[in-house]
Amino acid sequence: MTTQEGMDRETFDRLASAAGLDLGDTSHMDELYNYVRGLVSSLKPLRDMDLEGVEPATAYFPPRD
Amino acid sequence: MDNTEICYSSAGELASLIKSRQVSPREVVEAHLERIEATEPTLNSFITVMADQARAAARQCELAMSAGTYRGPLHGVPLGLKDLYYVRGVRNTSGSRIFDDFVPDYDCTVANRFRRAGAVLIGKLNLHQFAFGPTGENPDYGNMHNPWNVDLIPGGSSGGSGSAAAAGQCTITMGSDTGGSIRIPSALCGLAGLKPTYGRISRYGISVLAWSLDHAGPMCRTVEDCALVMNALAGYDPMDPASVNVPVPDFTEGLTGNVKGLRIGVPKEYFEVPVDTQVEQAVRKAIEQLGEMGAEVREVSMPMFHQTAPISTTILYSEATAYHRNLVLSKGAQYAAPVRVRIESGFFISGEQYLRAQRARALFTRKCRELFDEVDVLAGPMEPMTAHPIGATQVQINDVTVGSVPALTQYTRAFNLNGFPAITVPCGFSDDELPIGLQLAGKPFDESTVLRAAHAYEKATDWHKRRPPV
Repeated sequence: MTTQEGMDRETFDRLASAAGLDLGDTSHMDELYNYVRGLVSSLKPLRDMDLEGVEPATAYFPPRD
Repeated sequence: MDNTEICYSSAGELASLIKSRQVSPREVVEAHLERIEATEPTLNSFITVMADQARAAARQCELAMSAGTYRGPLHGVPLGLKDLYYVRGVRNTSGSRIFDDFVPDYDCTVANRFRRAGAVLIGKLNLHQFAFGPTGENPDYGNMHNPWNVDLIPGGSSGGSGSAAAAGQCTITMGSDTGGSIRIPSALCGLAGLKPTYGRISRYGISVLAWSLDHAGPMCRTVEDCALVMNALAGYDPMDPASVNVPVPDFTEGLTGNVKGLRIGVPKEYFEVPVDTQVEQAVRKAIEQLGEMGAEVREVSMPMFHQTAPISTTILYSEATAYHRNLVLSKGAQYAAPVRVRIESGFFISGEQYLRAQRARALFTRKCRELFDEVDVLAGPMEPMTAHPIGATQVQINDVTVGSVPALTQYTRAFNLNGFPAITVPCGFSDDELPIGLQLAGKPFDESTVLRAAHAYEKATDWHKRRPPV
């Protein structure tokens, strides 16, 4: 599972498989796993931000003819 | 005028020489092709040199002048485009051998507008693969090299644009900037490089890295040239969904050299992260000089500065993965290994995380806009250090070892997130003769003030007149 510390290998493999990545390429998957663990950890400050009442910076505008 | 002088003339200088027929567009193009031939084996700035097309375009420029048509200050001026700007009939690789044979059948809006302005396209420039990296290293087309020291990176992703402009291979070049890719190589190569406001220059026909962060902009040897390019390119384009229909000023009008009364804020957070002592000294001295020239300088706090990296990374990786999904799943092994890993890691960012980052971005942008009620320009270092050796993944800043990628992007990403305009201008050299950049950022769609401040500083100094040893 994804934790405060990072992501365990089982969760990584499950998500990688769902994304369509080739789990058979073990050396590449090891490299990717290490990178993803670092990434998840580096994104932690985002979880701690107070965003109460803030809408995302994305909006849909219907096309005008 | 000898060929070296032609190659180191600015667009503004070449314009008057061409208009007064002291030099012909063909002479200008031949001088640059000769310069490319002499320096290219060392620098590797280009993926495609378009010698025949450039000669033909120069002839057209001369014919037009003979017929009484002068298209303005870019008429006959040599231009290089990063090899992700589509040009009809010219291969566009985006820095990957996967697209070695891809030839677009239409022009990007930027190429169209340059053609209308009379600029002569001389070639397509090397880049960090898929524009996804800040160093200018590329295993497919070879690493780019910094003209100030060819063992060092020129910066990226627009590394070829940086080295080509700095070495006099092109008068003006274009980069793209998703997390700093115009400003990083401009700073490390000693150029003026402008990332305009998001929506100011059309991205139509430019390969995507991340839709909501991608900007197109000029990399030149003078601030005035950046303004001239803005005059040619800025303006609404219905083909780009992000293009904004706002009035376009004459960007050269404010280039008076006067900064009296300009309110300059210096974010204290810029100096709470690792920054090389020589860089800090040069930047603080430059800001002090702007103060002596009449600007009102004061320390400010930039809200959420220390959170910009995780916000930016989340959005960049999610969007890059969405764009590359099919290609990376089918041809991942053909990607450069570091680029592949970055793109595939986006599969592990959830929709909730992406939207959380977009909410944080909205908050950050609002707070930045409020900050600009108090100041006209924010000033600080463009990079925390000078160029580092090719291949290095860690760098030493004073007594701290940091990752190259986070260090190179620590001052750039904020202005991709909020979309505000930001320029780098040379403000000194290190003891080992490497350029240092000053970043000046402004309010949305107020490139004029950013250009005015940068131009005034440039005019008062001579850093931009130095030439690299290559």
